[in-house]
Amino acid sequence: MKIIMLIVSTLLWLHSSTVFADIDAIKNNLTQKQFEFDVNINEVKKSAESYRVAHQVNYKLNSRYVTTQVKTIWYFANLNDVQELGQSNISFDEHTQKINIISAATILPSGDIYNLTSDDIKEIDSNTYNVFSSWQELLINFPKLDAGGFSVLEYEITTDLQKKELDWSVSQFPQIFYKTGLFTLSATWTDEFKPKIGINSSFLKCEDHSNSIICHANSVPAAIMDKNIYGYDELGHIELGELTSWDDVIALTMKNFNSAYSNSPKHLQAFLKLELGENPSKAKAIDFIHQFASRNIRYLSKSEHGHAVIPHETEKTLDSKIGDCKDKTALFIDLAKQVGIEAYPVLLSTNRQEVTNNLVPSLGKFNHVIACYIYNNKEYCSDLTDTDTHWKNTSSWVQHKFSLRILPNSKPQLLMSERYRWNYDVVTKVKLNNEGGQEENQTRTYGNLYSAWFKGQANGKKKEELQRFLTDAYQDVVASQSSPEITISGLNEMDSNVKIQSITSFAPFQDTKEDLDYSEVDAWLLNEIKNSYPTNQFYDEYIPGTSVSSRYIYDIPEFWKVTLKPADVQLEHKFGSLRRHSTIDSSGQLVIETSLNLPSTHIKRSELESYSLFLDALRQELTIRIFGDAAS
Amino acid sequence: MTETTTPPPSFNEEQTSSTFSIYAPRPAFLEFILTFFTFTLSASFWLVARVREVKYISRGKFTPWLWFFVPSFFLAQLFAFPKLFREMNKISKTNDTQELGAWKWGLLLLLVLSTAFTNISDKIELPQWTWFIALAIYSFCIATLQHRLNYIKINLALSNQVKIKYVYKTWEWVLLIIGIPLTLFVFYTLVLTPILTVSKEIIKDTTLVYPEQPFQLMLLDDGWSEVELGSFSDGSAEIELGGPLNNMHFIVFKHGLNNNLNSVSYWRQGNILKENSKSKCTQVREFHEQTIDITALVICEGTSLLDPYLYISKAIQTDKGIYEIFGYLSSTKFSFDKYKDNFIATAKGFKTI
Repeated sequence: MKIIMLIVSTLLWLHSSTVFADIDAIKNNLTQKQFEFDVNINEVKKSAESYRVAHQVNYKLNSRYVTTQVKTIWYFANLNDVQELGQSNISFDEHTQKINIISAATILPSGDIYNLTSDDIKEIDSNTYNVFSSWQELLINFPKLDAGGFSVLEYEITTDLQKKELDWSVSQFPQIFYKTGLFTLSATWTDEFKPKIGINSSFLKCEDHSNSIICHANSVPAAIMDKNIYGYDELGHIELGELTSWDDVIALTMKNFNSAYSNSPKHLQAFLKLELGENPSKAKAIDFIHQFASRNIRYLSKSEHGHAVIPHETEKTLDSKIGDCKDKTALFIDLAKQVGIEAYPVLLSTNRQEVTNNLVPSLGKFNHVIACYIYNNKEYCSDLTDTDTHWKNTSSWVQHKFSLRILPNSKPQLLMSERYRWNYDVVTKVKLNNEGGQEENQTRTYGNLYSAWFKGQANGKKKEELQRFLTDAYQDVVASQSSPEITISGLNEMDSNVKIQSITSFAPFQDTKEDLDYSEVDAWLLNEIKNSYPTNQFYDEYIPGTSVSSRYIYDIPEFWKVTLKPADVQLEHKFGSLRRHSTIDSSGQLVIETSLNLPSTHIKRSELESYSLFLDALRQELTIRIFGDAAS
Repeated sequence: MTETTTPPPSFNEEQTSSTFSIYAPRPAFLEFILTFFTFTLSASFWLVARVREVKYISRGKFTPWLWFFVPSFFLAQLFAFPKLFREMNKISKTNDTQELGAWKWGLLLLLVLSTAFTNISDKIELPQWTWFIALAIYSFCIATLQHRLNYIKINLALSNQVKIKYVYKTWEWVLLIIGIPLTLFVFYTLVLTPILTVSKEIIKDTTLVYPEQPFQLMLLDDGWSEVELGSFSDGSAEIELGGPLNNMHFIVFKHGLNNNLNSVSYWRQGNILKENSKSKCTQVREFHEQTIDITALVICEGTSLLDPYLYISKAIQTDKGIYEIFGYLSSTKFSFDKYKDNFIATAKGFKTI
């Protein structure tokens, strides 16, 4: 439910403007008569569910200011929703915006009205990791709220466009994860400021005029919640913004980054010469610059006014060794330029993974920036806030996200996504011993992104904690009752693959005088399949690719003669494949090789069940069966 | 000329001389029975003995033990029997009895053809009754020769006043006691059973769909027929199909929901290996066409008594249980090769609907 609260509150109050809060003065006290004028109380109270009774937004635009007036009324049918939704938050930036709370009140189930005071409103910092700008937040608690009650919040924000670093743009959602009784949006503008408007909501009915637009939606059902969705991708909305094309966003970002690059890069050149010597290879230079920008520049969001979207000068970042995503990206680009690599920023939204229609161009759509460049005819993209992923790979969490290359004529698209994001090899040597037990020596070698994930997990963990973490993982996946000796290597270097070796003994489980009837589940493959199930029920879902190869080598004592090897598996499907083949090698050992390939894919809602059934089918074939005759 | 001046030997069952015995004449039908019910095995011994007698009588140049192999090779017969005929005629001429007429060439032809037929019957699959016809013809030829030799012996015996007894020897009785029921059993199994079995002819390349059965298949050769349940299985099958060859059939089983592909396919492979431990088996799991139903295909091959054989099992997992088509093909190499590909393709084409 916390997720619901976050999404609801985010969507409810989402706007790109920031606010100067005047919380000492709440303009009006709501009266019973006013409330009854707005709400048919008896009709609303028939609802068994909490819902957004009304959400009314009005924009007044001119070349200098944008005034936004918002009024929202919620009905609370139960205490659970009171707990989750009895608080609202408004983000703001005191440098560019001014906010007035017009009215804020709790309507008790009895009909009595409690008008909030300044004590019920708190102002807090709301910086979060990877966020471009340093917004503040107003938290508005509605005291005395109870099941059968209402909350009313009406406020006005005035934005000074001349002071803003970002362009002005807003998004409003007629449909949220609760039912909406009435949604209205109106906007008026002067001839000097005609906004670009994008609508992709089927619920909204709009009337367009030369200098205004009026939209409304009645009785909008609640959107269905799901586990892995992005509200911007799935919920229809209306957008207004001042920019007319993506070229404007690109030009604005170029200007911002150009202001950070060094005019006289002698300092940068001297630094690189000191670290790399004369004429380093490009690969060596990229490796160094990437590691330096990601690891040696400590992450710290420095998005104070003036640097919400404008990076600090690269020489200052180099000197202070402190920076956020834009600072690190600018430094990487500037340093790369000194060794002949023309890198460029790429804006990213980690909250979107679809390029939907009717998007209004705006810098405000992005919350992150990375650096990309062409090397050996291939584009490489590096998130410099990632201290674990090698430069040849793109960090897992930015892949397949909404992005805009800051290059002329670029258009938004999804950032590249590796066909197999998660990959590793497992080699398991099993010796069936004379007592009927087995000794297992297993080595897992992880590909770069998986290695980066392990490096991230190991960060900050003490040796014992790391050992516990690895042991727990082994016991969860392979055998809960086992006591493996586990060693891990390759954690320190960005380019090294993480290797985890485990040695385990299992007590006798097979009578050596009887025929051999052995079965073992290929546990790591099973684990990856379990992790690959779609989590959504109602929406499309993107599945990052997984590729695992497993090689079991069985040393079987001579008192058993193998009569039946595991069946060959050739399960090929549009969703992926599972292949297995077994042979007896020259030394008489049984070698079983299995590969699981689940390429990254966008699964349509209509195919979610098919994909799960496909994985079910693969799971059936993960058991290794070996039969043998006992020596007579 | 020495041969003709040699006094004709006298003979009886016990002895004729201190070094050699000539056996008494025996009715031809007894020789027919002995040959037929011993699957011509007795013919080899018979021929050695008769050639030894002819050699003794005619003083001809024979190596009797080599004649043991003559019944097995039709090419050898092309040279051996004419020589035997010549010697028999020589004896007849010496004793002023009737020589073999032109019919002897017809007899030779029948002997050679029937032997050739049995020689190639392990290369080409033919209806089993034809093999019994060939056996009867061959036995008839041996009986005819016996009849002719009786004629010669009787003439010789008459001239020597020797009494004739018509009996089987002990080892011949043993052969007959074993051979008669064995021959009748083989005849019943290979000839009568297919005739008596109620079957429904199936036209090749036609998709077979059964009401209330969620599977279908298509047979790719002529000669298939649907047979009674229990013809090839213990009666628990859903469908049984007999092929154009004797050892060629398909059986469709339904395994209940308490089974899984592993239990069915490993059990099947294990069973085949129990029957023929030297079989080379492969087991492959695949998706059934474009679905996510898994199929388990088991193919085991090998040779048994020099004939190649093939077992095939395709099991499909469905939400109603596991449906399995199980096929067996064993035949002479020529026929095996002729039918193998289509047989495998038929099993692989088995599908659920």
